[in-house]
Amino acid sequence: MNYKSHILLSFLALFLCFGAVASGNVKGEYTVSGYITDQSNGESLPGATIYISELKKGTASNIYGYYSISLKPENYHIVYSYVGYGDIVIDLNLTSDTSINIELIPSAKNLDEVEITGEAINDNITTSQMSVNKIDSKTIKAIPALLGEVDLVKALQLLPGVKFAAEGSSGISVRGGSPDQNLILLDEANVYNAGHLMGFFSVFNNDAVKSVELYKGDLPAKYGGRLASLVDIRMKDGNSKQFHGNGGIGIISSRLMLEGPIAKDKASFMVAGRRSYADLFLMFSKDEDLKGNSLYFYDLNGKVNYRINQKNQLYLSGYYGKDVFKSDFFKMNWGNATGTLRWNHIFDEKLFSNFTFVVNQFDYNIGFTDDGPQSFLWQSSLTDYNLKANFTWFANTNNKVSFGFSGMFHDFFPGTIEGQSEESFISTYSLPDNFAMESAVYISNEQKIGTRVTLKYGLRLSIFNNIGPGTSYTYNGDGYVIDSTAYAKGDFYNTYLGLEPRLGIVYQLNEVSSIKASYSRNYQYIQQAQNSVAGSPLNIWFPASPNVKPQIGDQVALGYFRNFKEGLFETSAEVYYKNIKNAVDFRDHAELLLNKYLEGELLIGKGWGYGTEFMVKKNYGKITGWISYTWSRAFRQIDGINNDEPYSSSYDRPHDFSVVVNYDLIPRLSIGLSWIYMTGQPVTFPVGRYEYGNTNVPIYSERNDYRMADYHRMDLSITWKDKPNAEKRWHNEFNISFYNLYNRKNPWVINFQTDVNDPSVTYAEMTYLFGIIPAFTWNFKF
Amino acid sequence: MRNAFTYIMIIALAIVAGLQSCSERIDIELEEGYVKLAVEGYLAPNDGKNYVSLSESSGYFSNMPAPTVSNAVVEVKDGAETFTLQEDAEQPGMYMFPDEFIAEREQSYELNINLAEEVGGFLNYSATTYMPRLTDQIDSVSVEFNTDFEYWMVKIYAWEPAGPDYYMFNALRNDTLITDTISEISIGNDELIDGNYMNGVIVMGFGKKSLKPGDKFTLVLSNISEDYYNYIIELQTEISYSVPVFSGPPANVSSNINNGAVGYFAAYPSVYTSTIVRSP
Repeated sequence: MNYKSHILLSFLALFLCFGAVASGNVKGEYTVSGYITDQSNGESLPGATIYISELKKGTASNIYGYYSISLKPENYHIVYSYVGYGDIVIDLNLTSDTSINIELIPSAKNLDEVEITGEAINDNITTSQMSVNKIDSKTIKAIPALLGEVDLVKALQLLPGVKFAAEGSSGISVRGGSPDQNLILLDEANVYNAGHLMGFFSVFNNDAVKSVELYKGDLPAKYGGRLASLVDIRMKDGNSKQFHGNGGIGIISSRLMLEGPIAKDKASFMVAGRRSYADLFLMFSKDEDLKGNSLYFYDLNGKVNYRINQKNQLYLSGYYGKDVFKSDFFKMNWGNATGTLRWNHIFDEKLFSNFTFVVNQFDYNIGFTDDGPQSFLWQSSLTDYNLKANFTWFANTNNKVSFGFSGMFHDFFPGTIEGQSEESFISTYSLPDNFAMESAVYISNEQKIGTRVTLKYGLRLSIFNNIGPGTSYTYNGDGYVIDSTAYAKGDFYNTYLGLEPRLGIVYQLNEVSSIKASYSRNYQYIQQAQNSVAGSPLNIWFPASPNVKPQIGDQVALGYFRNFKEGLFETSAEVYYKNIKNAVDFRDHAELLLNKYLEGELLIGKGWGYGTEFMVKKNYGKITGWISYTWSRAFRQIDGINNDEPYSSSYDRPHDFSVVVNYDLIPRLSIGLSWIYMTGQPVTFPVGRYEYGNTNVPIYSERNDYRMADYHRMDLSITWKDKPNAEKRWHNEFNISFYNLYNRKNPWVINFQTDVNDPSVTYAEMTYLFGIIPAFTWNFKF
Repeated sequence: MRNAFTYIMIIALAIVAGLQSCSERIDIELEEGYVKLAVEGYLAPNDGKNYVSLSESSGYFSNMPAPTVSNAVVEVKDGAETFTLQEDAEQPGMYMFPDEFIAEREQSYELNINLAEEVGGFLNYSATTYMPRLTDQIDSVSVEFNTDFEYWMVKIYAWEPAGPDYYMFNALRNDTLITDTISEISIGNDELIDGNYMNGVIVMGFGKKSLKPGDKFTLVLSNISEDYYNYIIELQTEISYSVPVFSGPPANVSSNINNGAVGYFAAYPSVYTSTIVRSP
């Protein structure tokens, strides 16, 4: 039996399975369905829970706030709840399909005892999804930030199993994976470079963000294409009740966000903008040369949504951001642009659908501002067009089936350099575009068995095609080209298929604790040519090809979850093991930029990692926050690197401890504190030297055989608010923050140098990025 | 192309500097790697640089001049004949080519080393190198001061012959070599300019104080093999500052000598072009 028929059979078997689910659909049941939103601003509330007291069963709303549950006609007591909101209880005599939209009311803050009926379900305990963390924008804002610039990615770096790629970087390593193994989606659009200013700040303006969910390896079948994680960022829909705005002025940037109804409760908008102004200071510089320079970033977020009727809703959202550097003779810019159009359609109460069309692009341009003979322009970009359809079928109380498909067209433009003047002596050097199609179909079911067990079983079939025109090179063992084959336009010249099972089981020990296990397989067809730890915006992405097989990741995880005091505290402990086939690394001294024969620089091997993660989180009250501890390892073995022996990945940092606390001292004053401790970064140090050309040349240790000093840092922020006054529309907030409070010199890089005065003396020099950095930010809202 | 990277590095470093970065010397305990044979061999007849130097590698923080290796039998074959190099009486470890040896362009040379005592686990080492053609039709060279960079720019005016070429540039100021360490040497390839007229291509740059108007400046253009070009790139990369944003993992510099020896045996022709440094 060949591979394809094998896949076909697997799908057939799965559909038969769902056939059984469908036939199990009890006749005489009615459906209760609707949207759950925030009463104060009309924002949908994903993950709100619906609990049927009589049955001791429930469900949760989806990412658009929609829920659906099928019940026998009887009298029910239905409890709607969401963390930080008061519960709403509905008494319902179910005699027909019923639509109930619920608006939950945010509860008064700072109370340790919010009104809790004690009857809500603990979604984190009952859901079959594991290895997931969710943070909302309020929580992100409360975490002290570098230079006061609130940053979602830096908040993620404080979660268990997540580490920064390097200090000050917007790259994250999830469970030992590399930064390009994370699928970063902003309203379902790919964000290929999440950093501004070389990564010191992320591209996500927190004012425009509603929430972010991080899935560590165990991706829902709907998603795929990356091995390590999904970072699912959702923009605010915009206040559909009344016009509001907020903004702020900080050391790095100024921000303004406006939102409001276009038609009350039917349509709303949100626009947000941010611009940095380091360059504005340059104007005051005494140095004439500096005055002409500019260095800034900006970004714009926008979203409109329109509820046509109960069954149809449209969302249009977009992002545009750029980093710009310009001097008298040199210019450089890079940025992302995304656009997402979504249509939610409810076929009937049990079948919810969403259709998405996405266009996203990342590009950069580098060159001279003048047009002398030396002048050149260097450009590169990556553009995706993506069409997705996702369906959720709320088959009955016990089964929720998700299925759908996705088709994504990639246009990789690795780069070109051309001379910019008539007398230019630079001949054009251009790498041709590279086209590929990444498609997938999936189906999965979440099935409750009895009151204690929930199963999740799904299958994703991913298909990858390289599409002509294109040239495929054949390389010898040393990476030199020995042959090439050209393919015509429209030629699907290479195909990979991936069968990706996603399995999970939860066993509820009681209402507040459960044990979960999961297995997932992911295929990754595109990756980034990056061999530096932190990465730069110039690192291009490249696809699988006849030479580059897709990376395949398998992850198993086991976890224990327990809530205390009605969900006031959530605790979790997880262990995982993951294995990567066809892991990509690069030859020594690889040339990754503007290299026609990039694939010749690749070395393919395997990777593996394991770890355990603990987290205690306090959800509400005067003190909120979390403590997390991770112990993990990550290794690679790739022939051609480190004498073919296994080595620690650059992201292998066994101990990782973080504390995040927000303390509302009095209603007007709150304090945010975070502390992070991590084992030092693995590094390769010289163990010998020889002389050549009057220079000491290093001879290195095994790859990553040494470690830098451990990393630790404490940040503090103090926020002082205006006196609360219901009469006043305008509210001020002042924030003082200190990054690296106790001025720890954390090594960023260690260089080995020869003494200028005595060439026989060599020494090690450590560079750290930040001492203590105070910052002040003024925020306002109206 | 390397220019572009230089600018990016400058920007990256400027950003880093702007964000208050600091450097300080630190103490690190390092194991000592085992000893390897280090070879520095040149067959550069136009430069009068015809020798093979043998030494031992040492611990990174040994802080002593490298121990030399004497009493070896060092031979070079040009395909037809074998020549024996004589160790210099004054400079132990330096083996000089015989006077009757004449190097030809576009020819390969084989180096054989027979040690008196084992170094790095072997007695015998060998290497093969290739002396390329010479781009010798240089119209002129000029040295101009660039006020943007505060740098002396060395420009070349010459036809670049078709076909891949790899260049190394050295400089003499008033007939004294000022590029005497390998980090000061400039290298380039003709990827972007192949077969074109180099109408003032910048090939080297010097700090404000390195040159004075009125100086006699001599540009030494050498055609080197692709392999030696890669060796110099790797070496310059490993001895330059590493920045986590751009720099790949540290990796040993390759070598054209077998049996795990380090260093390089290179052969190249050179052409000298002089000019007078102009006032800014």
